[in-house]
Amino acid sequence: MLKVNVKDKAIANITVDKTMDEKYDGKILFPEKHQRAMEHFKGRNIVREVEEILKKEKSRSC
Amino acid sequence: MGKDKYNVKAKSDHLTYEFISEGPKGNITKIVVYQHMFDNFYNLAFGDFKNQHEILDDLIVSDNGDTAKVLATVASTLFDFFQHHKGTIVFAQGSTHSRNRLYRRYLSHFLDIITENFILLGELDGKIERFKKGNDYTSFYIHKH
Repeated sequence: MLKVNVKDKAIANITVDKTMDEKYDGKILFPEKHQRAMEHFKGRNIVREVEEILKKEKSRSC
Repeated sequence: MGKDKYNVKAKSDHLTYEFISEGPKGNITKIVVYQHMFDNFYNLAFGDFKNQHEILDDLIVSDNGDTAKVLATVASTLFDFFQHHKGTIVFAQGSTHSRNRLYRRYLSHFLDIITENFILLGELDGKIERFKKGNDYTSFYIHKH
């Protein structure tokens, strides 16, 4: 039987394109956005904050 | 997300995506980047690609008359990103109040579909909680179930 790779409908519009690798190779895109996000988390243990909320949310949905 | 979307080209690491917005202002190349921050945290950055030397922030409102289609396309990259980067958390923050309002409206509109696939959190005044319609969140956290 022919195996058909059915792509998830949600990502059917997305294709990996090797020219993208060359086009953006070594480029740092939107460094100011990265910086802004890092500043947002300054002085916080955001990993713990979010992980705790996610744990709670996951147990609620079980 | 059930909406009309643009075709998207992805980099093989599934961290950078590109598509062309088509509208009355012509063809505008849009870029979506998932920037690694720390641990399993990524920042969703989005903007216009003008040329090899100039990439514009989303402070620039290109207003090409296709906002819903652009946002649906950005949402599709989230599905693809999570398929290749499991267990991660994506942080998203608009660069202006009006951008955040637009994102909130979009997220609220598609909340049922979103919550089927993702856990969506909103942050307001430093407090993070499960996203609820009507709250003026200033940033968002997305995690795949």
